[in-house]
Amino acid sequence: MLRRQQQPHHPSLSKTTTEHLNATIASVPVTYAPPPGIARYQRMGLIAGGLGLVASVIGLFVDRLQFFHSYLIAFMFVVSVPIGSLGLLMLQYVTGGAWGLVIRRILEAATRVLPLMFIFFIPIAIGLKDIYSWSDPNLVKASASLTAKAPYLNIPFFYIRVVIYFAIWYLLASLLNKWSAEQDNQTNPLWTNKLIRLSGPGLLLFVATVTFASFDWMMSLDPEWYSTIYGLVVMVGQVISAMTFVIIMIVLLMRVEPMRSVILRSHLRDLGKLLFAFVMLWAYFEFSQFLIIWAGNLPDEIPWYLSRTLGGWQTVGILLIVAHFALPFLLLLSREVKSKGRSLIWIAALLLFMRLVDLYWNIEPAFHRSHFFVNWMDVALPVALGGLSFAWFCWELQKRPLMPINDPELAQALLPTDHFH
Amino acid sequence: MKQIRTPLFGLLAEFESPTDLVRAARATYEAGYRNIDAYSPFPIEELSEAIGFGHNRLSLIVLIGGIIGGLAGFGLQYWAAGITYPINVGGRPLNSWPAFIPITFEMTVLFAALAAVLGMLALNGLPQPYHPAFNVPRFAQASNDRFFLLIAKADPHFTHEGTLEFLKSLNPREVSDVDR
Repeated sequence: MLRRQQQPHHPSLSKTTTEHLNATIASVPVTYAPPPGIARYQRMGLIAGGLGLVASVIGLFVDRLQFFHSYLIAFMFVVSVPIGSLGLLMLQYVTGGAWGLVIRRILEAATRVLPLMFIFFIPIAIGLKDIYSWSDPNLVKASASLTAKAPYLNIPFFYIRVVIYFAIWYLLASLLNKWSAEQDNQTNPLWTNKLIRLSGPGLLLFVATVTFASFDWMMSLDPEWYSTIYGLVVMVGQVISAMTFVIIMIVLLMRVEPMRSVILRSHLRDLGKLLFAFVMLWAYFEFSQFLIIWAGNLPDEIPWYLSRTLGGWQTVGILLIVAHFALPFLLLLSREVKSKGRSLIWIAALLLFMRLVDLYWNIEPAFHRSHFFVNWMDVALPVALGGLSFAWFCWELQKRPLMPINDPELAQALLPTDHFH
Repeated sequence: MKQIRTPLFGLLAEFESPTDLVRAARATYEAGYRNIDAYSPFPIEELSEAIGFGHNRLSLIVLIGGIIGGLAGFGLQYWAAGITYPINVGGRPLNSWPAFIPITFEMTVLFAALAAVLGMLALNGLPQPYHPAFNVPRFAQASNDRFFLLIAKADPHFTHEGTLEFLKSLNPREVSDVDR
């Protein structure tokens, strides 16, 4: 840390850059150009996604029903990163802070993957009748509760809502991206203020749309069951997905310039603290839902937990308590663990994997109530959608400098002290 | 200058910026001084590390406090609902652990927080109404905009002239004698 402090911390004056620009004028602006390594990640994502896609298409013809069930899990997993990133992006404009500034370009690039997510939704729209039991009119007629819900839970309105959710997310994401690009071009504080002013109301819209999207896409799998906190449970899971993805990307990027001279221990520690807070928040929401339903023990609520705690599903539930909460919680308590990229990236990877397990435990028992079930497509489809989305993300990440070069708080965020929060 | 010589406690150097203070503190530690302390109006992350202030036992005290609180919270409910006053509530088991979790959590946080405050006071000796550094009038600036480094006379490397020369070499604004 001392070495960092004695050196000029501004990357324009870091050793390699200084040598490079020695002959030119002293105040060459820093470009924070994305390193060429991102293109390699993009290729890797494309190859993995392509292979997964081929396998999945074969799966579609082998077992159409299973394909759509696995597809929903894969979609909910992959979509969680762009949606969670959109929330984090607005959150960091509202709170400010060095942690948000150094990850802003990763969040922005992740939100620009949203159009691909809309394309990825098309198979769900096609396989709707194989996924959601409320789409069967005979079943609706037989149940008083489903008949009462029919004005909301019907196929045309479901499609309309999907379009509304994606339109709102796309609008928010494109404004945030557009104004941030304007901010790069000029030092006018107008754009910074616009970004901050949009983010407050934007977060309200975000919470409302994500809540209803989680009701539509996941809660309605058990159409008679309801839980008012479910939207928040799903949303905080999406934010954890985005947070772990960002941490993995930051640790990978900080191996090389320009991020090597940008990311400090204090930045990593702040990201670790936030991840810690979100993990606790997730546990808090999950437990709130469980405690209320367990204590009430009512016939229209308890079946959801019964089908998830019997026939082997309880093992997955215990795995979630241990590896999605207890283990990350204990590890992230340590200050040292949070400050080191090497340890943080493994915790993030574990949690990202546990996100998939959590979605699996939420979705799959709706199709296999009696006992634990897993199919090879539950692996192939997340790889397919994940690889393609990651390639798209890498492509977007290379389009802009890796730091918001004209943000008024940039210089302060790069100070190697803890003054700035 | 001084008319009356009072016993010396140490030497106090004043710096204008946190960066200067951290640099000076590190140089002082590297020069072999161990009985040193630094004062700043706000926390500086590198400073405690610079004066060789490593891990202390506070985190262990907080952990023990939290564990005791958690066990006590759960134990109290288990003892009350399961042993001394067992009541059948809607057929639920007497040891209804999900219902006990919120109280267990609250008690964990409460005991950990109390352990943190009391443990901190026990380890750092606060509140401390008197300290020799208060004898330097400009030390009042330590809660405003100045940064101070103190080398105590009790340090084995301390000599009045040698340490004075050393501190002056660190570019302080001023070096003062600290009377006991």
